Amino acid sequence: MKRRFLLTFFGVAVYASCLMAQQKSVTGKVTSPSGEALSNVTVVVQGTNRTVKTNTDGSFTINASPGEILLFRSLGSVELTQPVGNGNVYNITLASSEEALDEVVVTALGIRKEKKALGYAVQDLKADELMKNKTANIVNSLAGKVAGVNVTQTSGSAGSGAQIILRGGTSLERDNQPLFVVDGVIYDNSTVLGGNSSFDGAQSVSSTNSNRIMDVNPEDVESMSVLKGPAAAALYGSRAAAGAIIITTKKGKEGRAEVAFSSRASTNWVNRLPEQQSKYKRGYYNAAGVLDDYTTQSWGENFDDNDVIYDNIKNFFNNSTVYDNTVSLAGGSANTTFYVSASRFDQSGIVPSTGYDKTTFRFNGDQKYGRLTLGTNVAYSLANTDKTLTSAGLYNSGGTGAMNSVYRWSRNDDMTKYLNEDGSKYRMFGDRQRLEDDIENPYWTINKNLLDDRTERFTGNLNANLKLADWWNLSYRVGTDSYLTRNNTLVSPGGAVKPQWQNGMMSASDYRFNYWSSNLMSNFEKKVGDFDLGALVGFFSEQTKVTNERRVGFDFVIDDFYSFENIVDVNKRFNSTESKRRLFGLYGELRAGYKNMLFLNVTGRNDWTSTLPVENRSYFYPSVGGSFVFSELTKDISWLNYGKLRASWAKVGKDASPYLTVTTLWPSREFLGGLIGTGNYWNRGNPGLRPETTTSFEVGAELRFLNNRLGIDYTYYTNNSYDQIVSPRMGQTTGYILVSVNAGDIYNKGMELALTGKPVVTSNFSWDATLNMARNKGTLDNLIKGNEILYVTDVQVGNAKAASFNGGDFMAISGSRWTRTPDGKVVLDANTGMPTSDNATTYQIGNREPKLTGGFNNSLQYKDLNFSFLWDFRIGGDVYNGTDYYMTVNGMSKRTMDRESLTINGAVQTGTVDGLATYEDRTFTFEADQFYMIRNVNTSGRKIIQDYYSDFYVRESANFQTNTNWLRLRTVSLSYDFTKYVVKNASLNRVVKGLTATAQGTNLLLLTNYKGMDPEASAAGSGVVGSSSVGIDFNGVPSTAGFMFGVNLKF
Amino acid sequence: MKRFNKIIFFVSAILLFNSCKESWLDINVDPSNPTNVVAPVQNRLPWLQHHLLYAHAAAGVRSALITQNLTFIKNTSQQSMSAGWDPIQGMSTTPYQFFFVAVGSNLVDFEKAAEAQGAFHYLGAAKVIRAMGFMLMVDWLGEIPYTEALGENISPKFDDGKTIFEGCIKDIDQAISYFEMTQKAGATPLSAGDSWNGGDVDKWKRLAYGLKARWLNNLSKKSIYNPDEILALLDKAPNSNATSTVVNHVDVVEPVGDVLFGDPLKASVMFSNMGMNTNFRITKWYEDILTNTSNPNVADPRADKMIPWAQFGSGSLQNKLFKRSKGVDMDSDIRMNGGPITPSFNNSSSVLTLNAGTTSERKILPYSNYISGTNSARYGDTLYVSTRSNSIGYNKAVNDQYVWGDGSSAGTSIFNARPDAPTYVMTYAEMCFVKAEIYFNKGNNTLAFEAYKAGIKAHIDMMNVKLTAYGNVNPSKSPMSASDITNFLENGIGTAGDLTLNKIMTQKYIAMSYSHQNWNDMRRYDYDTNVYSGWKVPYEYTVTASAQNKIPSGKHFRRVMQVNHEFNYNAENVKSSHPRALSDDIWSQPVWWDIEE
Repeated sequence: MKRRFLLTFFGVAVYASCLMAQQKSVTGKVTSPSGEALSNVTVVVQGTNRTVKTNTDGSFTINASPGEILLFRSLGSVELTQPVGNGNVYNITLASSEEALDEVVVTALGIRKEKKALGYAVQDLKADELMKNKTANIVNSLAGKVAGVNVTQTSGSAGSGAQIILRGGTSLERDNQPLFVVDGVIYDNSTVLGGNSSFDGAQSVSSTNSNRIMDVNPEDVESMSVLKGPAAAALYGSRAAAGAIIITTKKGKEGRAEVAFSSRASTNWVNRLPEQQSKYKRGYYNAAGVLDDYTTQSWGENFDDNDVIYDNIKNFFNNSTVYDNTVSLAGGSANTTFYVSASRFDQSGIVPSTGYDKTTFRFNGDQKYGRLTLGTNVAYSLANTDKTLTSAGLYNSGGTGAMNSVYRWSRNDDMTKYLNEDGSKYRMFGDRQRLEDDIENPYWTINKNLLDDRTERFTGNLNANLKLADWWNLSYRVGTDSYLTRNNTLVSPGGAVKPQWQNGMMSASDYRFNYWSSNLMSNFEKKVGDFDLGALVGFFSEQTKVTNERRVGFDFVIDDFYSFENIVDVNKRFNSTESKRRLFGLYGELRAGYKNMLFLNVTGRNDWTSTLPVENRSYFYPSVGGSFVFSELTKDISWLNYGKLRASWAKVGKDASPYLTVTTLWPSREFLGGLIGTGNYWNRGNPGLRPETTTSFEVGAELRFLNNRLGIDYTYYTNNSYDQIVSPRMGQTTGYILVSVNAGDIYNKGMELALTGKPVVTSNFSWDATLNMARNKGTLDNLIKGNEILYVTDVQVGNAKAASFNGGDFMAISGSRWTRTPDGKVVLDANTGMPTSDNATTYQIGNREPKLTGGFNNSLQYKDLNFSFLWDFRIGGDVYNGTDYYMTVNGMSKRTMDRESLTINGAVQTGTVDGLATYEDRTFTFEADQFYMIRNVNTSGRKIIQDYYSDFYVRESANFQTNTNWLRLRTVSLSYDFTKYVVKNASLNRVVKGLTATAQGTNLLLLTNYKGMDPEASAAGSGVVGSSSVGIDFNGVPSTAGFMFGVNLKF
Repeated sequence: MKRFNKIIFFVSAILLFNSCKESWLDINVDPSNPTNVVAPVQNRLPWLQHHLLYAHAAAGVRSALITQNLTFIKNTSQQSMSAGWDPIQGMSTTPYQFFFVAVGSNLVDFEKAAEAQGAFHYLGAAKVIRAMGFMLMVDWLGEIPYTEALGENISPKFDDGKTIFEGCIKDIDQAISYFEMTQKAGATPLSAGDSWNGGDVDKWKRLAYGLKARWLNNLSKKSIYNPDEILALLDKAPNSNATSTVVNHVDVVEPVGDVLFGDPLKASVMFSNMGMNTNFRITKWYEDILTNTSNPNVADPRADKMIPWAQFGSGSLQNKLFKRSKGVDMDSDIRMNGGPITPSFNNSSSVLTLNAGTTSERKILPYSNYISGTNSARYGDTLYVSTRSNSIGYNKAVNDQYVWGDGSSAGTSIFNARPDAPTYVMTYAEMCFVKAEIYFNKGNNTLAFEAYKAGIKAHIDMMNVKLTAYGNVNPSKSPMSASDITNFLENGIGTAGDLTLNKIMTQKYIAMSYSHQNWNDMRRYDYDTNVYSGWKVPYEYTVTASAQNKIPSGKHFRRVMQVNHEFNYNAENVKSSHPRALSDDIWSQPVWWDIEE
């Protein structure tokens, strides 16, 4: 038995098909409900390898004997079986799956449920839709397609991550991305930062990083089910407070083994660059009007006609190309199915010297033994990113971020000059300043500071399903997810880094993630009269272990040879950490349905976690939901095909990260006299932590009209998280930089609306359209007393920061303001004419959360030609242009282009009456070539204007903020299915069974009121916790637009 | 049916197994890092001592910029801005962070552990360290959370300067009584963890008395000022160099630095804060007080040691001569003209032509230093030698000489800034000057002069211990001769008859160079040029409007602005800490003890 199991599992398609004597030729025609002939429908005799496809007129002929069962299967249609009787002709009508009212979706724990029985909104996307805008990152395929799903591609850098948020954030300080579950096993989607700012200078803004869901090959995905809130995901427990995305990979199907090959090539280019001034050179004027060129800022002289104005930014970026190939083999028999795939994705980055590649393998198989089904899903992947220091560069080495330098590089200097003719480093100011004070040339950075990460991942599960009785099903699944990410950093000798590293530094880290879970579930189902009853109990346990081994070394002994062995021992350090968490849960569910019309669902789960104090480690949470399919009562209303109301409520508990309950010590080190010392770490633990909870409520309705030509799905929800476990950065008079506490409630409420329609349906042409829209409003309350704002570490640009305000918005921007009169005029300093400010940086200046987001997805099919396009839009929500702030301070922004004269309008204080200030309107004008007496100091107008922009102007943080709208043609694709021609061509059809060609454009059009780079920017990548860095544009790698051509072949 | 039974058995077994096994969850103990309750007292103390010194050194160097002992090359760094009295918030942070995060977080656990074993001397040390830290915060920031600091409240309210001051005095009194006690049997001896005084309890007691004297003397503007009480304390404070608290640093290769900045743990904290940096320069005023003494014809032997030298000339090393740096004249427009500038070096045997073919064409001789750029006003900036020192430990250099490519000296550094420079935590010299000041103000010139002279001598002797150990390395790094010392003490410092407060306070200033206390003293005397003769506010301040937003004309630099961590994360409490806490001109608002009563 074991041998047979193996044989079938490894896809050796040798079946002992026993031919029956009484076979006859069966014919028929397959049509759609509207009578159109359906071609290319697979017809299989169940349990055999006899299979054919229908012709263009829908006809088929196959050998079968009475008692055998014909299975009809086609993409986008509901499967149908037809027993063979005495007749020889069987005409079949296949309903399209969208019209299938008894739609089945994958819900929590992989349980398939009828959509109509659900008390919450759920949307799933199938493979063909996901492939329409395929990138390396499956998450990107959801953008714009599902209401309430917010996907942010964090940068255009090769291998950079994307962030996905469902219905707003539920956590102030932890990852707000949903739980990913692949084939029933939780799949880690962290963004791994291998290094550490205090160890090797690595910070999340040092470079771009992938989020690990990118290890999934999108071609392997059969469907993605989006469970938007705890109501849907309650059974997953703690980790699904932010919703869950259930990915099911492809399975082989009964019938002839099919080989599919898909190949894509694309070219991508920067879609938008920031705007720079082109009038002034490097230099600055002091108060006496004396020009000095000892600066990298551009406050200097005007370019004259003979000067070269370099377009350093534009020259810097490359075109990026992608080659993406997948091959798969799938097939099966009545009791066995298998799917095997391999893929390779190769991308060169828009930043020179960067790139990303990924290789994946997958095997999925099932084997039935009577009542028992055994299955396995195994995937192995390798992902490599070559990258460089972007944005801020390394911690404590201010000038090393390539993007920082690119955007500020003075335009009278040719940025490509980073080496002298003799190959030594070119330094703008030579020895005049310390090397560590240099602003590194970006070409130096990309050629000399090489970073890479290498991830090797294995995921797999074994599952068994035993049908004990018609009404009783038992299943068990054990799964593992493990990967090793190795990060390498090399800072070549001669870099503008801290002195210790100036003769080179290298670091490496091995981040090892090991997860296993075990899930035993017993499912009962029974029909009693008009009632469908169901129950479920289960037991779940999991363990997550993360180890991180870091090494750093500096000062290479032999020149031009970079290895740890080429560093003396005293200059090498290592650091080793391990964290482990465990959790187990008992859960259950009761279901009842009445006459396919009323449905009720109750769940409960209790978790026990290792990460909370013993007295708080156990917590229970319930959910209840139901639906009412009222169209069952209104069957006589012809225009209404389907109507359903639904409601649900759920509560989910959430534990802490490991080891937050105690304060630990720093590793000890040696002090004077050989004394060994140690001290408390800068994060204060809390022995009284409690679990946080998220409660959600939603109501909604689904309606379909006019022969299902028009559908509406509406949801209103609230999603509130209480008693957050946070470790906020605090004032340091506690003795600590970070302090773990339970504090802060987040309130989300919102609406989602999806309209689906088929405006045109004729025999040759159909148009399917979906318009979805969502709005979420996230607010915060009950934060720590006296600390009204929670900031996101790493997302701070000048005075502006990504922040959440107590009693205010969750996705706010904090910043400083100019002082204003009661009627809103800027208060100017009577002496200097400059706007005044109280220097507080704690004002809320904006809210990054959009008022409305959505997508308009269209698919137009004319015979074998498909034209699809997806618009996505956003209305409202502030984006902070930190890049422009940075360029303004450095005299590079286009907004500083007019510096010959400056006029400031406002009011100055004239006195006080009854304790209230009185003001009069005043206008100050400064000319660059004049001098002004400021506080009895004769001051150059050039200096005044320069100070205005670099100091006073930036104190009104909102100057760099835009309430942003956009309309984006996210994808447009044209594909043609050549299968008919291939099938007709006798020489081809022996080999090729199908051919589709696709041309696709991405991000080709972006209409927005935002100036600067693509507003879908994010300063610090995908792994940023809390309110994230979405909406903060700061010196990132620009986004791209692209064109792709691909073919799919079937053999 | 058999199979069913098996399965049911299996299910129950798993459930039973896991529910019984509560301990399966008992893994929330970090396997990589021990917890705060297990650290022994002898491992806490060296950690606290180092980081507290670092906080003081950071404040000391910044104070030296404010008081115009030091200046900086012209740029927009916080040091340069402070030197020009146009300070920015960034200057506040380091002393605050080193005290609270690296010292403060440990105090409660440290005291608990010491109390548990009756290690009273550690408790005394804890109180001294706590008081030294908080007193620095008062001097530096004016107000800071105190009663609610280092406790459960994560948004502690600020206390006024008086409350903190009184708390620190109370801690010092308590420290003294702990040092009077005998430790319980079996308690860890202080020597096991003391990197300052090697466990010498008497020195600690004297340190505590000395601190109390220093602080009470800072109350000279207050009605409660009691000079006699201070004089009584001085008797119990360090009464010789041998009983002073002096930390002897070493320049050795260290595998790892401190947790906040990665700076060395054994090298001098002043090296980390000044010696590593190429950009600090001595001012002319400081040069003047070291050379223009009571009798300018008699040189203060310390001048050569406290002002850097460098080798000048071109060609071979033999042709080069050591010259002592000039001080940067902060009363001139040098910094308004982009100076001083750090020199470059022509490290080749051929003549280097700069800006060839332009009106600024210049020839630079082989192996000579020069100022790059085209601003001819700056070409002489090579005369201003950096206080930079090299280091065996930190820079992996062969020794601590900061050299050009040909091995000639680019700067000898100064006594205070080398990696093995001693840190004077509490000295007999300081105590002498406190005594001199008090007696002088009482009108007793004889006792005042006696103390004044003893103070100068103590400082010179103390320096010479280290200098003698160096041997003759270069004009700066070599001992002062006995005859020069005697000559200076006998003929260079005046007499009881012509003693002035100026002499006392400038000599104290020299002896306390780079100590934060110098700024306290200058504030006590309102930057009075009768007390600090020749002292001036920096010229650039007088011609920079933005500087006068912060320190309005006629006012002085009186404190630093609260740290931006407090602005960001404890905003409400900062706002109520001082009526002008958020205003630009907070820099000119006196701290509690600096307000005349």
